[in-house]
Parts: sequence; C-alpha cells; structure tokens
Amino acid sequence: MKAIEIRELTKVYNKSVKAVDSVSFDVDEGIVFGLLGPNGAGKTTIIKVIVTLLSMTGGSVSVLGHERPRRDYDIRNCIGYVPQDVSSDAALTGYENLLISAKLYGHRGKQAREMCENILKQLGLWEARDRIVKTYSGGMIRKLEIGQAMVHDPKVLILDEPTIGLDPVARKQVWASIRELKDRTRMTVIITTHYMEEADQLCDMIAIMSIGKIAVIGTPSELKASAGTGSIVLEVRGKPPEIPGAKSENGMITIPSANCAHELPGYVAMVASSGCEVLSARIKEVTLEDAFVKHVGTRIDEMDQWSNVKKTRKLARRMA
Amino acid sequence: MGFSRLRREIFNILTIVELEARRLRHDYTDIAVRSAQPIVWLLVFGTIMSQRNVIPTGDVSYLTFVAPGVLAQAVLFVAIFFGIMLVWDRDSGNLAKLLVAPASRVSLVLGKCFSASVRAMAQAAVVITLILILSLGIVDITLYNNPLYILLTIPVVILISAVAAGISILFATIFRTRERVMGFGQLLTLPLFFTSSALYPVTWMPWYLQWFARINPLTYGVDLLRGLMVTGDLSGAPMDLAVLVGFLVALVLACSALFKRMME
Repeated sequence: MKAIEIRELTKVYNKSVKAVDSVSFDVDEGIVFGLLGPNGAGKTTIIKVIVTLLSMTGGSVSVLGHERPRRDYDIRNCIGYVPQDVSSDAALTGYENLLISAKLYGHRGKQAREMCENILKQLGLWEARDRIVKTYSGGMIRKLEIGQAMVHDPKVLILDEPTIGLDPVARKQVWASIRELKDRTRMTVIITTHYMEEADQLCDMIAIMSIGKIAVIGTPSELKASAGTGSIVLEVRGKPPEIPGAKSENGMITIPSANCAHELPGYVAMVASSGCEVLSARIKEVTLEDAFVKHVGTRIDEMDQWSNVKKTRKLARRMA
Repeated sequence: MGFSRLRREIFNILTIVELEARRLRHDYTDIAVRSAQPIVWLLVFGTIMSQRNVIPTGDVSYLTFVAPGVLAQAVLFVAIFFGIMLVWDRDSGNLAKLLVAPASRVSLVLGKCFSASVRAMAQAAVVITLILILSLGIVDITLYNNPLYILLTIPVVILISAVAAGISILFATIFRTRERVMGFGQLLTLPLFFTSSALYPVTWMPWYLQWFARINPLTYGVDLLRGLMVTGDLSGAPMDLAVLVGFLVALVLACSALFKRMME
C-alpha cells in the first residue's frame, strides 16, 4: 500500500486563485518525501489537503488507503502533523503541551503522563519541561511540536517547513531528530521545504514544485544527474594539454566528469606530466539548485524574492 | 456513533477545557482586571439609580435587584469576545492542531464554548465573592439566604457563557478576522445587556423592546440568576434552562457546520 496517493488534485481559493493545479504523485511507505519549491508554489496547500484541513476542488487524495473526505476521521488517527506556524501553546509549559496532545489522541492518566515524560527525554527537552514555551528557542519549539505530533505513533508524519526561521545549528538538530524518529519507527515522513540543502540531506524522494504544479519527481541523485554531470576545475600555468570534452580559458580548465572525486588525481597527474604547472584543483558538483534551474527555469531564490515582494505588497494594501 | 466513540468525544471536550484552564492558571491578570468593571456597575451605576428610586424593583432594593444582572454582564463580557481567541488560535498553528486531531467538530466547538465557561467561572467566582462581601452590611444588598442556591449559580454561569461564546464563535467562523469579530462582539454586547432584565424589569421596557428581551438569551440567564440569588423563586427555571440549552444546541450545530471555513 502507498502511504499517500494523490490524483489530479486541484485547489482553487475563493473561486479565483488556483493554488494547486492537477497534481498527481504517490509516496511509498517508510521514506522521507520532500516537496521542494519557493513560497507560493502550493506545497502548504497540498499538505493542508492531505491532513484534512482543507477541502479540495477536484481530484482525489488517499492516506494509507483512506479516501478523503469520506474517511477523514481515519486519516486523522494515523497522521501526525506539524504546521508551518508555531502550533505549541506559548502560554503553557512544554510538558503541558505534550499532555494535552496525548489526551486528544486518547491517552489517559498515568499512561499519558509517562508517555509525555519519555518523549521529553528522547527529544532532550526534559530539563525545560516546566518552562513556559514562550521562553523556548525556535529549535526547542520545533522539537516539542514534533513530539506532540508523535503521541499516537502515527504511520505518516507531515512537517510543513520544519526548519523555517531556525539558525543553522538548530536546523541540524531538527534534522537529526527527524532522522532518528524515522529510523526508530520506520514511519513515512513528508516535509515541505524551500531549502535545497534540507531536501538533499533529508529526503529519499523529492518533488520539485513551481506555481501549483510538480515539475519533476526523483531521488536527489536522479534529480542531480538529470541536470548534467559535475566537473573538475584546474587552475594551471603554462599551455595545457588537449583533453577531450574539456574547456580551457584564462588558465582554467573545466573537465566534465561523472565521477569527479575518482578522476581528479588522474587529470592532475596528466596535466602536470605534460609540463604544465597545476596551481589548484577543485570539484564542482551538480547540486539540486542546478536541477531546480533545469526543470523550473529560474533559481529558487529569485522566485522566492518575487513571491515575497508580492506578499508584502498585498499585506501593505490590506493594512491601508 | 458507538458508546466508546461517545466517551472519547466527551474526553476530547474535557481536554480542550483543560487546555483553557491551564492557560488561565498561567495568566489570570485578565480576570483580575475585568473584575473592576462589575464593581463599578454595582457601586456607581447601582448606587445612583437606587438613590433616585426610579426603577420599580418590588420589595427588594435596587442594588439587590441589579446584583445578578451585574454578574450576568461580567460573564457575558468574558464570553462574547471568545471568538477572538479562536481567530488567534487560527493565525498561530494552534487551531490546525486541534482540527487534525481525531475529534468531531461538535466536540471542538463545545470544548471551545466550555473553555469560555472556565474563564467566566473564574470571573463569576470573583464577582460573587465581592457581592457577598458587599452584602455584609456594607451596601444595601440582601441575597436569598440559601448557600446551595448561591452554588447553583455556577452551572448557570457555565450555561450563559457557553451560549455567549457560541455566538462569538459563530462570528469567528463567519467573519474570520480579529477586527470583525471584535466589532460584531461590541455591536451585540450592549443590546444584549440592555434588552435583558439585568438593569430593570422587562415589564419596564416599551413593548417592542420587550419583544427583543424575549428572544435575548441573557434575559433567561438573568432570570435564573435572580431566582437563585435574590428571590428564591425558581418557577421560571425550566423554561429558562430550556431556552438557554436550545440556544446552545443551535449555536453549536451552526458553528460545527461552519467550522471548516476557519481554515479556508
């Protein structure tokens, strides 16, 4: 069985804004699946439809075989969801937040309390359990929220932009928590992100999204391979030898290679033996960024800026 | 719906109420500050009106008459803006979290209505205590001499606040922004208060306002509170309870049907 099956999902807001346009994809059980795209690409909308928060305009969605909207209650029982906005109650302590979540998923009394204590210890929040969440750092809040989404051992954990607004250290901690959880419970994890590095590090499968559609789906290595090969760049003094396929200008030789790390020493030796001095050597890997540019046509940060400007302007208009 | 599911839903309602109780325990300044207002109504408005003797209140003093009204007003004011909290919860991820939990929409709405009751009860406890202190010969207030009746005001307070919160949550599901829910709350509070029997008997109003009073849930709430706190006459109680429960059921059903609009 697939964890998620989506067929021709379309979502139109206010009868005018098409946020998601006929999107289809499957998520296999037990993998980390990433929806990668700039703000406004429709990632969060897809997530909100999966977790039963939004109705859909067209198409079908099923989670572990439970069809929306008829089986929403069953879906809610088997998913854990961490929304993009802070969902822990800032006025309560970490322990209280977990306890309320545990009770909402049917745990009671001593069992609920013990479970909360275990989760707090696992997440490294034990020391902070009786502090008001308002005093937590961003990384601590995210970890607490993940804990809250785990109280019922969900088969599918869904995280919307789990590391948005976090500093690099906290981001790595959250990644570690997600990986640790996934390895221990073998659940399916779905994340949305607009960070290339995050998708690359965390995901087994990535769907690149742009303006309501999925541009391409594949494993990180497949996506990178689709954007071409890496290359070896040598800085040289003197006349370089002829290398098939290589480009040479201003004392820089760029040699395309499918296996840069292994071929680098050979090329360095070959150039050096031709009497040309090698000043430096480096590898230019293909990144997800290259894959994104190939399949979407623009860099993700450019689109991001554009959509942010749009959002800010819209907000300004509403205020005025 | 099976029995175990019903039990689970009742447990869900209690959990949502517990959440509010815990919020209140961490920060009760709101309740403390709001307690000043009923006292102003009682001591300033009440004192002035009782001096002139313009309002016919039968054989009880005006201050005695208005005390349950002031309690009802305090409860109404706490609950009628509860929808704003719901919009806050929507704007943060709190509401999303509740909505993806395996709980029926009816439980969520009822849980939120009774969450307002938690705050209203805290408020009512303060106001009743102050009224009791004032009635110890400080001002001219004579309450019905039965402690059980004073205790019975608590379930009435729960019911009134749940209805008022239901109205506010209905606004929240329809209007969806803080400003509008606030505005419509403001728009409704004073008419509800003035066309109830909180400040003067319904018979004292012109006929068209009496008609308003009759469809105003607060009238029935005040009637119950006055019966318990002042007259000891509970002959109208079954009718009062039926109207309040009817309002609550209708509001909860309407809110549950509209609740998903909050997220769209």
